[in-house]
Amino acid sequence: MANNNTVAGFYNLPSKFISAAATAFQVFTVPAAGNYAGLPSPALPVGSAISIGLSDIAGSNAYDDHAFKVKISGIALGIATSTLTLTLNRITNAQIGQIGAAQPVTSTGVQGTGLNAVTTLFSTLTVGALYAQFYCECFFLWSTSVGRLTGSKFVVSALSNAGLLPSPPVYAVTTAVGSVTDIKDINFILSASINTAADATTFVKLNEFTIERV
Amino acid sequence: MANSNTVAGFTNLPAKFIGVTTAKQTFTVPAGGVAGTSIPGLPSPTQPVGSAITLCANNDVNDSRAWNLFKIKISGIALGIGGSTLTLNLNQITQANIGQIGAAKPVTAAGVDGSGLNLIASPFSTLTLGALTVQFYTEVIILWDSTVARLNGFSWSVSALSNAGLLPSPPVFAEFASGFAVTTAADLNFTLSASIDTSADGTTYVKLNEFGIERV
Repeated sequence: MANNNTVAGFYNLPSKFISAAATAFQVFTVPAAGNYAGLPSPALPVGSAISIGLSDIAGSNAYDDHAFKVKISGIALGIATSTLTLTLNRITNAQIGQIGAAQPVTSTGVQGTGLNAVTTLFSTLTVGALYAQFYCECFFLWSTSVGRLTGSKFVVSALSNAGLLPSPPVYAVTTAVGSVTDIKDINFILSASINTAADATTFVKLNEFTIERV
Repeated sequence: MANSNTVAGFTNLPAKFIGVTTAKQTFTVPAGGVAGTSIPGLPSPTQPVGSAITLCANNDVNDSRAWNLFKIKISGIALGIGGSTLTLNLNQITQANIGQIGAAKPVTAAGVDGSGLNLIASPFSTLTLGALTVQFYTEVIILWDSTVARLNGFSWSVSALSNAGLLPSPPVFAEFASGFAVTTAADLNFTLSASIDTSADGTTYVKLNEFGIERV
């Protein structure tokens, strides 16, 4: 839930259904009006990637040389043998709200080329016919002097209906993104894919996609 | 200590003395108006004397969508005798069981765990107490979603043998052994209980400095 360190983000986003044979990474996109309070907006039109970032606080030194956290939690439902891959990506300020092949998301809702993969939060999370709950924290370090976005992640998941956790919490580093010289270019989007066993009933629902002070 | 993300809970609870018993003894509401052992605000209409001290998540926001992620923080000290160990348990109870006392309730009239609870985590299963004061700290991260209607999560814990000034072990992460069906945010309520192995005597105790809920 939101806490006093939360500075930006979204809660209780609508479920994103991921259909059969869609192994391409599908981006969490802005739904039509009436589905989520505050979206679409002038900066994030319908069909663009839902993005969170530091661009709206450009000029602040609060994040220059200081850690911040991107927090992601939610649930997913699949069918037997299906697995989920969830990735976090960084985009520039100029790419916020853009749609196209060379942008963060194409007009068909899959990933374009205009992004940098930061980390794969779950590579093959079993979603099966059971709900999976997941929780991830990504700690980022960025400095204007260094000009690189680096960090680490902490990931847990649970197969809720079975009441069993598939694996212990995992710590890992994120993929460094170079040439990030402006705080306005620190923005994040999420995308997901489910392997070919998935059908139209499979979905991912984000309960939280936020940025926090650390 | 409490911080700006703390939404409910208790601080500086009186020491709970645990005798020679392996039963899980519940942290219960003490009598009011007794200097040194009473807790401000307790007993209350919902938590009478002898009932389990209960953290209620939905006291803060009665909106189930908000409670998909939160933290229970527990810290305190414990004192044992040579060779003794402490087990600390975090339990979930339903709204209907808040303040209830009985064999099928969260706590019996004798102050031990009843059957009306779900054990969700044992942050310390065999914490060595010995004859030194032990400080402990644990955070239990709860994942709950009204669609899934199941309680899951994990804990991380540290402890220190204070008198010796040494940490017996690095921080430990542990997942819940199993999730429990919880269909409504009103049933997100938590109690604590502890047991000390049979080498304990009447001088051994656990004192909770913090038992609270925080936004995550």
